[in-house]
Amino acid sequence: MLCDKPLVEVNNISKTFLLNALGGGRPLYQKLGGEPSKVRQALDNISFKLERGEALGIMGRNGSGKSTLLKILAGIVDPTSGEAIIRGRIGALLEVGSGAHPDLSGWDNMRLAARLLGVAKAERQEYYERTASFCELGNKLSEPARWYSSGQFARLGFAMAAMAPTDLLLIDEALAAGDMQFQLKCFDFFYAAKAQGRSFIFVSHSLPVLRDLCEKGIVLQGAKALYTGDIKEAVHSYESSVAGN
Amino acid sequence: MTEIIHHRQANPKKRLLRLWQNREAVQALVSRQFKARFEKPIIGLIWMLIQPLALAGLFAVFFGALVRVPSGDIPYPAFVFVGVALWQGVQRALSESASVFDSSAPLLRQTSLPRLAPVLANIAGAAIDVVIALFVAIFIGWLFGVKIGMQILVTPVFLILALFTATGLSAALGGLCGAWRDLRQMVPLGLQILMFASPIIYPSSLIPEKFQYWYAINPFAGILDGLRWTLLNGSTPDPIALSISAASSLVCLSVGTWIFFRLEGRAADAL
Repeated sequence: MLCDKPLVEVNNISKTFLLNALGGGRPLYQKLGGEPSKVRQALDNISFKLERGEALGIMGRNGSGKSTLLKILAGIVDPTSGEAIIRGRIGALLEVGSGAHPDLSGWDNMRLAARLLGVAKAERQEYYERTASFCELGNKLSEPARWYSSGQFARLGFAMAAMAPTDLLLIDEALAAGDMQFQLKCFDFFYAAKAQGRSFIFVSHSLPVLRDLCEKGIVLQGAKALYTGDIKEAVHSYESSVAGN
Repeated sequence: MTEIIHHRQANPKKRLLRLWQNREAVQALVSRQFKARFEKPIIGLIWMLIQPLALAGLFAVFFGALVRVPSGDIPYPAFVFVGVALWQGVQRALSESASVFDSSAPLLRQTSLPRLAPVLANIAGAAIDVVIALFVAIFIGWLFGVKIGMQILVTPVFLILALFTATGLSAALGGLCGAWRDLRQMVPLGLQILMFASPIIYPSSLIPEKFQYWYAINPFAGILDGLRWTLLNGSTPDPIALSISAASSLVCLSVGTWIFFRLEGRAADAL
């Protein structure tokens, strides 16, 4: 059985982005004109393992590659080299309210999310009900998501990802937008879900939260892993690296 | 238990597999296209038909009545409407797909939706428009006294070829314009060229005999000749030219999707 193996195995992942003037893809005229492409190394040779029911906290300063690492795990960005193996279903909350499409109503967003996150047909009705009750948006759910406040948008995104029966949930500072009450609700959810054997990878600048929720930690600095291992050690190493600068 | 592996440049087979595993998400996007059109059926139909009707009317006046473009046994208004009905859909699908990495950015930046899925949804939306407009084409033919034969049963073959061609071209454009943004400025020009390279406002019989098989490399040549044959009782298309168009349509589908799969990672980096 696959279950004996770790849920997540990341082997020597590196990522380089091509930089360009247009903000979008690299203009073709640069390529044809033989201009050398400017590249930025976002991740350099990152490896780690995560078992079922464990949580991992990723910390590091802005631009150290935290979000890129999550995007690779979520399958949104392809790594330049190395591989990430995930033995289970993944859900991701990569931006505030992510996964919610502004043009769709709350209900339509849930229907799309149910299919993207692999909620079985028989479980969908229950998924819709649980998501609706978790995000507490009531009648707002029939309105297009672009009419929501940013907090409501964030709640919808969080509930959609959290209520799906995923084995691994990737969360990038997703708690920042909800109100206090909702944040507490999310913490309750994390503990309950971990007890059921679900795993999490958090990116956060809130070290106490990470120390509380995670067993493992990674400190990224300039695209490299400064420390990989126990969360307490990781927080300590991050704090001293910041103090050292 | 599903095992998901992310690594560099997943090959086309893996991309197709991922698309298949996410087919329900694709379905959800496609049914959105249906819903957007038929939530208010009457208004939806009016919006859907006003463009091809107006454009075909303009063409009928200028090219049919004034320039007197020959259209064989088919009355020119019905002839040109079939062309316009298909072209409107193709044009729409292609131009929407060229900017798919912009318009679908919220989904592509945050979910593991296969990146080809929004392209396929665009195609499905355009296909709805085309099929409905083609029903109107039969009606217009009837108004001008066209009698339909048994060959109408072959129509789906040409619709499927059109679907293949449009999917291939849309995927290629989506990938190319996603990876190199400045290419998008060329899309309107490319569409114009393709329109004049296809028998939309003129019949393919206008092309000199010795170039007929070269002309048939454009899949839309065979598709439009075929649709006019099945829907408007036009002349039976040349089987060799038709086979060339059909083969070219398959090449279009496979090369187009391959281009998309090759470039989608690069396009996603730029999101």
